[in-house]
Amino acid sequence: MNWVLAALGIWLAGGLAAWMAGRRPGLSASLCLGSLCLGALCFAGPVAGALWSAPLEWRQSWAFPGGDLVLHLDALAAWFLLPALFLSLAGAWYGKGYWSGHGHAYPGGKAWFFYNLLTGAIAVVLLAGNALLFLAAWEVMAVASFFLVLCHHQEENVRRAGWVYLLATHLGAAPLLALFLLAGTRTGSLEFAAWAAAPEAWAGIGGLALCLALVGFGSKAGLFPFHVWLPEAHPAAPSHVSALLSGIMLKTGLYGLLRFTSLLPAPPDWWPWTLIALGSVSGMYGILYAMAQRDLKRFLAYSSMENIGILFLGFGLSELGRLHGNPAWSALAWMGCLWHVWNHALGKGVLFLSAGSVLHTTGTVDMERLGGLSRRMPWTSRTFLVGAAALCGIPPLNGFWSELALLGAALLAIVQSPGSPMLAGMLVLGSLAWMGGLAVAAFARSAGVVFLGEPRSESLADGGSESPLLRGPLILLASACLLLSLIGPAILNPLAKVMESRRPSFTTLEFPFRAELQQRLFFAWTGLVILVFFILALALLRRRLLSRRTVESSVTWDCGYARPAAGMQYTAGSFSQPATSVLVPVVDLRREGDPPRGIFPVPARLQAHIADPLLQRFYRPVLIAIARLPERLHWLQHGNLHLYVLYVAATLIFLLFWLMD
Amino acid sequence: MRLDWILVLLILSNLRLMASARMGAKIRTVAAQGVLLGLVPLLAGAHTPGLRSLVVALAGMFVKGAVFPWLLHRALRESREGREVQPYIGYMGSLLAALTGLVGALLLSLRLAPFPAGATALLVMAAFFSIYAGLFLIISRKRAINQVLGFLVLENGVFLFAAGVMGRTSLLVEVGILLDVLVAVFVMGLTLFHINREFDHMETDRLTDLRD
Repeated sequence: MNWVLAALGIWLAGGLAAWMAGRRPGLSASLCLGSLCLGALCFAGPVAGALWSAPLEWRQSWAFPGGDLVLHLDALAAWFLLPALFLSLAGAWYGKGYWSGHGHAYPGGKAWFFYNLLTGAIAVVLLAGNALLFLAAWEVMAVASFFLVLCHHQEENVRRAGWVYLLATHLGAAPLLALFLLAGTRTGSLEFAAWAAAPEAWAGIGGLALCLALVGFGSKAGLFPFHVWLPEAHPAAPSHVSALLSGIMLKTGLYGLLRFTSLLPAPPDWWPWTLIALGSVSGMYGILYAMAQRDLKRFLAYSSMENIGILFLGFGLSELGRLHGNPAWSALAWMGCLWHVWNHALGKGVLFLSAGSVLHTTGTVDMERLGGLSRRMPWTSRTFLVGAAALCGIPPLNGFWSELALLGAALLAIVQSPGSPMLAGMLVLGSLAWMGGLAVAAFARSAGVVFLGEPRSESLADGGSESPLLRGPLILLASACLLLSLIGPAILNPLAKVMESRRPSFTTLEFPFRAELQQRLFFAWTGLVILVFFILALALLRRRLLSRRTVESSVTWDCGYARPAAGMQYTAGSFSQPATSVLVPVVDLRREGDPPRGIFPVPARLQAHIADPLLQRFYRPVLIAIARLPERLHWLQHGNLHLYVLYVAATLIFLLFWLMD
Repeated sequence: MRLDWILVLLILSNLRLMASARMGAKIRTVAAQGVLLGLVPLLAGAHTPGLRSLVVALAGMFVKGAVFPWLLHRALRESREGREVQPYIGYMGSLLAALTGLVGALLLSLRLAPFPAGATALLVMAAFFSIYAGLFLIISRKRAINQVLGFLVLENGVFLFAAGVMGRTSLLVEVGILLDVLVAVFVMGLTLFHINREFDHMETDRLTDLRD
């Protein structure tokens, strides 16, 4: 465990050094990257130990109230730590290139400091064994990410996004504080281990505690009614920060919920249904809105929301299994959920970094202005495609495995357990089908519109290629996606270790179907390897067939038009129009413009605007109403110092006499 | 018995502070109050004072009896106005308020009884009355020096309460409080100086430009 402390220390020191060296961007980035590398190396031993052998614990008595400082590294924490370490490293490597060029506002050494701080805070959140420490790290994480979102604070919409994010994260932390205080007063301790050891303390308040946890952790995860900050903050942040926020920080919400529910004896009946319902709504809503976005990064943010939905579907299904004696499908659902954490972290990492490269090279992420980038940015277009395929769950890539596990769990639930699990299985199956279908459409749209065809605005027609500095991390993450998929079933061993940390542990069932699962996964893996070889063989064949012929390249959209123009292509809006127009009752879509009229139409105009109805119709009016309330008390604030002191004095005297009686 | 005399003197000095308009006299009164207060820890409490308490008490008396008056007199000279002209509450009203406060403090101290060894109802009453007087000075007077004096009197009340009721406090706490007050008065002295230079007056009721 000393290694872990050393790593945290190195991160902090590296961040401070990077801040000091802020005048020299290269040195600053190297310091940050170096410290992250060293820290990750220090973490390697403990994390591997926790995943393959026994959990580690570090305890230090503390003068403040609230119990000892406890860091607890078990398999569950290690499972979330691993992608966090990997993604933060890849992000720092990427950021080194991203902030080195001219014209890409380098926000100064402090950004690197906050980057390190965010990484460290995420690690402490995952390791904390004490509620107070957890909450402190949670807040540090929120504040560090807030400052990172505000890196380009010169832009007005970035400041707005930062404000929305800060508000959301603080509102989300409030229920957690209430939850921890409630648990602390009931059990007399602020340590998680003590909470788990006192199941009787939860009698009567279990439901309330779960509600608080759901709001608090769900708002961090970007779950359905609490997601409004997500599509604001992720596009505003620099891309490698978005990758870290979306890939890892969202998952800390899920982690908190997993950790907390594993402390409770047994959930009430409604709990798994709530999770499944919210997961289903988040996923469907997220992907639908993703489909309608024209900002590439905002699209990715909504897609993150969809993936959070998938995670919650798996989590909810496994919680349902907890009420039905931990059957095999419950274990499979939990496994799929955990597996998807890695897959989404890697896949969304690649996608955000690729989107960042697009922004870096062209200066915009507006899909309606981009196009034909695969020629200018061959590597970025490939990595984007890999990431997109991974998140759609297309076979040779890693997303396939977790979605396979989840679909398998849903099917098993339908087949094996009649009654409510069957219903839940159908709901999960249906939602996953919806999300899978729309996800493929949405990613085909974004990849097609951005990378294929012809540039949609003239300023983008020519210009430099992608920066070679940005290629490395992209290729690293994309190959990690492929590699993770190819080692697929081997992941079962550490996963089994993680599953012991759930209570009641799956190992108490001796994992009855583990051998069978291994066998089935092996079959799937064989199919996958054959597919990879098949693709390679096809590529070779193509190369060979074309080798002796002359190969010409021509315009993509050259199907019979005499003079194809960029304006003839499908736009992002027109691609998604069928999907969004069918769902007008659900989607808040506003269209305005003058359609073409007459035989010789004059120039026409169409403007479509899609807004998140929850933000516009619920949060905004409510927040405005709340903001109006204190305005009524504005007359109290008149600037007269004497009266202010009089208020204080009157309050003190009132309290004194009130306490006396 | 000697302690009682001191307490009576403290209460009288508070009355004088509340009823007087002359700034110079008020500063001297607060200084005298500081010196009297320095004696309290030596006389109150069941234990005999050690060398440590003696040193702390002497330091406190020096700061409150010599350093603060010097600072405040300097600020007063800068402003060249020796009188509070138009207080929010007139001097007759102030005296009535003082009497009300005195009765309130007495009732409060009687309700708080019984006290630990060494503390009497008179001491608690004097402490509450000092706090009340300090707040009253801050609220009802316009000249900024009054606010500083009010703060000092209020702090004196808190100190009296602590010294009398708590008995032995640790060296760190005592020295810490002393340093706190010292810094506060320094800052306030500087602020007074700057207010005077910027606005050409020291009337706090006219300082409303900086509000939201």
